[in-house]
Amino acid sequence: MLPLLDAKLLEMIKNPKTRDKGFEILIDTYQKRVYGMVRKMVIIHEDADDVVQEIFIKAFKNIHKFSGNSSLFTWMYRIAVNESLNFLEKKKKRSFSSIEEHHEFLKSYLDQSPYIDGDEIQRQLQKAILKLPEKQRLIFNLRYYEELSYEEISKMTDTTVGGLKAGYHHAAKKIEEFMKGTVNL
Amino acid sequence: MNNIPKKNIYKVPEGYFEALPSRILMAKKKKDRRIYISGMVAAAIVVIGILVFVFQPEEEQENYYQSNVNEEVEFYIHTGIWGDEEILLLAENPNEILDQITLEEWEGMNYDAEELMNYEILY
Repeated sequence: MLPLLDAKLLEMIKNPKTRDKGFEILIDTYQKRVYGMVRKMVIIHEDADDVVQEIFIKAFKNIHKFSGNSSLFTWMYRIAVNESLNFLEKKKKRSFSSIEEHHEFLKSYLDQSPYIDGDEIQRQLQKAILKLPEKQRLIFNLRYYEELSYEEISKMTDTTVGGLKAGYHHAAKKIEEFMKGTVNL
Repeated sequence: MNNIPKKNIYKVPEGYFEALPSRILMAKKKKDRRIYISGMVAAAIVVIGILVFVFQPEEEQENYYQSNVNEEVEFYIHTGIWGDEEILLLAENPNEILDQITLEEWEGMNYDAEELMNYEILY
């Protein structure tokens, strides 16, 4: 059964008279969490802004396909996961610089951008996460920062729970090794 | 890793989340309008294409076929493959053409009926 807010939102979106208001509430409800998840993947604010807009526009376009088998949040996150990975893939193809150069650029962004907060250790942690392959990075972020269950992540990423557990522990180990080499934990 | 506090280090410009819903809705409307306009343009192109296909090509095909036939006929005449008789036989109205040729050739001539009679007598 759908949570009350989801049901109410869908009802509003179905009605042409309240559709725009419904969309506005949908954005208002999920924007911070969706942005947070995307930003951890793409790092740069302007890129995250583009991806988030695209996610919501896609959600509006496909809301009629939402079957209600999962919560609206899981469905929104599923779109966010796909869009983030697609964005990173496109960026790699379009970019004239190598993957290593791009990583260097993101690392300097973490040190210098006005849209980055936190102390040295937290920035180092982000740099360690950046070293992971994209899908592993995504799983790590969803589990560690968003504190989602493996079952929820499984629905969002089409990966088995066993695969997710192994992936997460592998990622955490790699991050710890990197962190040991750079800061005194 | 447990010693590191789980803090979100990613900041956004001031007022970003307050403005985001209206920005997204505006972007959606723009996209919808673009889709509508490109749909109209596509429909117009299809209609024009159909009109051109229905009217123009038939005429063009006919012209193309006719010019090919003309070229072929001219080739046969100039190379002498076809003689006068063959050309006349191929024509739809050989008698009319013959009359026309006769008329053109004899047009400027005055006949002396008597002289003609003499010829007739002589022959």
